[in-house]
Amino acid sequence: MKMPTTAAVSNLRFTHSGQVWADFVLQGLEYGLRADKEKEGVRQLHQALFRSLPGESLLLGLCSTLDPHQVVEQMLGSLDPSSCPDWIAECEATLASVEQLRPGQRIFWLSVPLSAGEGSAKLKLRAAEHSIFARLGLPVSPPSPELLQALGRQADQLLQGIPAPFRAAPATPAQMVWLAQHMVDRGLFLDDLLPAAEEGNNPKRGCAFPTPALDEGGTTDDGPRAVIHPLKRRYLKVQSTAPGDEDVASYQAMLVVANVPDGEIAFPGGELIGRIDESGLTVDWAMRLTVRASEEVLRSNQRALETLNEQYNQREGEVSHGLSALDHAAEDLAEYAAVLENNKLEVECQVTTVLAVSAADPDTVRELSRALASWFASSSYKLAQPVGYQEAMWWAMQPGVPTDQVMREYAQITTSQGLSALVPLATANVGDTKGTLLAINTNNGPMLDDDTPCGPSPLIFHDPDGATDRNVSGSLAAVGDLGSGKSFLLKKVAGSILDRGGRIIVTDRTEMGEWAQWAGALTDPRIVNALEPQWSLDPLRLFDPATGARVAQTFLTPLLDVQPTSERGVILSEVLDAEYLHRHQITGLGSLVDHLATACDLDGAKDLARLMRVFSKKDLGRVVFDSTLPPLDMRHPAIVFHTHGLVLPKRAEVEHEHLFRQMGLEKLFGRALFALISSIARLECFQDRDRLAAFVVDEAHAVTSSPEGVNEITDFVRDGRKHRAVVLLGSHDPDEDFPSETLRGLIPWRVVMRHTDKQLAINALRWLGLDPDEDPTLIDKVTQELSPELGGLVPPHRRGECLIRDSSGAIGRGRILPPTIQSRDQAARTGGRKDLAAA
Amino acid sequence: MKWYTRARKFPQLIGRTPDGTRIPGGPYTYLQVAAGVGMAAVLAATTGLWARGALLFNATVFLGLTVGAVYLAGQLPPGMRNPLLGVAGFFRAFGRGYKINGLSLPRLTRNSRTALGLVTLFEVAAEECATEPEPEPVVVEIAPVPGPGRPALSNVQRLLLGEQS
Repeated sequence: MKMPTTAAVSNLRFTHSGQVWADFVLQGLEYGLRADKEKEGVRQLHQALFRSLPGESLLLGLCSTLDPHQVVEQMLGSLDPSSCPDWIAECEATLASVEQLRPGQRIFWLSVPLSAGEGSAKLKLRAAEHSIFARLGLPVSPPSPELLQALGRQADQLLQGIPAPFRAAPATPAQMVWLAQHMVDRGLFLDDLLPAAEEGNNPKRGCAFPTPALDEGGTTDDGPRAVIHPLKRRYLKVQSTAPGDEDVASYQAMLVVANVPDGEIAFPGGELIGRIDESGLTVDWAMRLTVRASEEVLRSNQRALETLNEQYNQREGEVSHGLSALDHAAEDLAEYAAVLENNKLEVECQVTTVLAVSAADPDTVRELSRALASWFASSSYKLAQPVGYQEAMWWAMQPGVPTDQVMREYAQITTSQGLSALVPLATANVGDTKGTLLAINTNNGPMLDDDTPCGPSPLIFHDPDGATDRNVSGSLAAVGDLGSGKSFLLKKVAGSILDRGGRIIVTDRTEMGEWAQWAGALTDPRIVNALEPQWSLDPLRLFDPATGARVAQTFLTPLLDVQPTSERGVILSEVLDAEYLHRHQITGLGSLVDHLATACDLDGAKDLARLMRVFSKKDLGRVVFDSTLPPLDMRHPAIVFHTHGLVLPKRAEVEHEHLFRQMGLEKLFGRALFALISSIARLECFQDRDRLAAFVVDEAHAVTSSPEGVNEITDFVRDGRKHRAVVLLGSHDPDEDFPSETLRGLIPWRVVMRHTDKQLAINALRWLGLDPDEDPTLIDKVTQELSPELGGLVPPHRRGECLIRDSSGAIGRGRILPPTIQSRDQAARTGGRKDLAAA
Repeated sequence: MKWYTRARKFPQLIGRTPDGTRIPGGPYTYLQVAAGVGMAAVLAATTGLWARGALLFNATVFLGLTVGAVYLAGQLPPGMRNPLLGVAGFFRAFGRGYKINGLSLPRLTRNSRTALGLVTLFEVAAEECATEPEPEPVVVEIAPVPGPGRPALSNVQRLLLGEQS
């Protein structure tokens, strides 16, 4: 067959047959973890799309591999490479890892032949003239402006009819060339990026399109006298004829849906094309559609009814199952006629679905085609590879090629409502378009091996820096079981913020000081050990007098348990006044205590000093009250507050007065110090609006056990976007650790990792925005399917599996990708030797 | 959802003659009828080649081959597939070599594309004639963003979906 396209102008494709096709690039609709009601909405949009298509059309779903350089470009964004060498090193290392992962994305393409009306004969004549002139080497006249205008109007009308959520855009000639090249290179992972709409809109001649050499059955691989076994050679060898490509051939097997299930197919659940990536195979699909109005279909049905009656007559008296088959056909015909009678707006969709798998050698492509047929068979669909028609089916997947007899033979019939239940234009993309490479999307299924995703899997990026520019919060919270990978995730995100030139403030409650160790592996951090301090956290010494006084009052009020309007509260307020502090040369909380005890004339000052000395004289109070310690240098990019040994009250102890009254000094101090740390972190992170800063609280309950801490974190999430600041939280239970509804609701990025406890899993799912009551299988997804233990150990390639909700509300499944530089990967791990060995 | 292919594409058989008489051994598929008639016609037209024996022998061969052709055609699975396409495909599968732009080539050479490809030159730059509408940006984005200004479904589309909405 001749290359169909003779010229491409705008999104119009002129072909040898004289037919002009209009091409569009469509976006898939989000169809990941969704409630049934939302899925029904997506199905209805598909139905509207099918009803908008006139007559014949071709819908394509293509697996395009992601170029590692593009991934790195997304990681770099607008960063200045000279300002973040560590991030550049990570990006360089990512090139190789992404090459192995071979992530992909699905590109959706719609091509519709335009009806030329009265100009049809002219177009055919023009095509013939074109063909002859081209053969003779003579120049051909381009399409006339009038013709282009008329066809452009038709294409525009088509575009207007496509539901807006598909974000249909006219394909450019450059994109058409990309499509043709993709068909040639399928399975070789050589795809370039789909050219953007704004580039490559110049018209293309037919010679711009690749002209491959097609060999049905790959006969050229053997000698001329070799015996051909057609049944064993049901594939097509596609050889590029471009210079330099002589040694590379793509072996492609095309399969067509030959038989469909007879009965009713459930929705949701029957979205076979929408879920095709779950097969774990890289499959391109093409749907050759013919949409017909109900009046026309009713006539066809009438003819079918007459034929059916004739068949009853012909087969009367036959002793076989034939009559039973006729009965079933009659039932279906009656039902089909009733559907169309009851709804005059319903249309008939005849669809021939061709699927293509490909590889670099014939044996692999044979295996792939068997696997694909087996996957379809599990849903009662039968795929066929008709002998001798591989080339014909390859052409059938190309826009500009008329539907041939073979395609019509395999056409399956349903209504637009029925076809829409296949939800072919579905994606489960999550995340931002650039930023940190957070995870690989495993919505198709878990990773099969360290470098082997299940089917074409996109990558998930997290861009807290860009969130500020988009006026949304970039804060993130991770919820999961012990050892599920929360800390690893938070370290990855925090590490990338640091590497990208941002700053981090971390609270570390672990005995081993894992965050301090981790930060030490990345940079030269300032580590403040609360019980053995080398640096002071005295707010009067850290900040200017006005700010310091305000923070100090916030710290002392819960510590001393004084009411703001009580006598002690009023004294505290009076002495913590910037002017008062300056007048009495009070430069720190230590000197404040001394002042209250010896030099203050206010009534009750000595009592207040005595009360403060309860803490200032103790070891645990040194970090705030010891004037001999140097104040913490807040300009450091990484500050870790190591708070191991600090005791925190339980929530009940804070909420119930009788328990509160019995609370020990350690708990009172611990609670106030965490509130102070939160306050310091917020002030510091909010200081520079041009530099991203993150406050990392791995065990959020340490901060959120006090109302002050909850308020600080809530304010952080609420206002962070205005100050280029984010908070990264780790928790076991969102209901318990994020006690405020506002806090729970405001965190835009939510990650749920493995939870073996059912109730905690339910809490996490609800927080994520899913309803486990409506779909109880979601609970199993969290308790059994995320990072499952096999033989007492989670296999390395299953670690870090999670459900992710991004700032747009899209929910998907992913696997956190470790930092690519091994030393950083190891630094982030805390699971002992086995964990380190997995790095 | 449901597929209605079975309602319109069912195997068609011939079991009776136009006057209603039942055909012995029937019903037959169209292919069986075609195979039987075709075989009989071929045999009848080529008697000079094969009918060298006695009448009884010749009749037996004639009937045997015709019935054999009908029987073999009956062994093909009944269904909607056009058997002629299947036969044609089988012959196509025995073809050898490459096809480039509709032309056959036993093997590729360095100049294959130049020799067989078409290079079309337009007389006037087609850019001057293009009056396409301003395209909307099409970047395959990972992050979902709300659609453009248009509503999800136009009023007409809502009307078309009226029975559900």
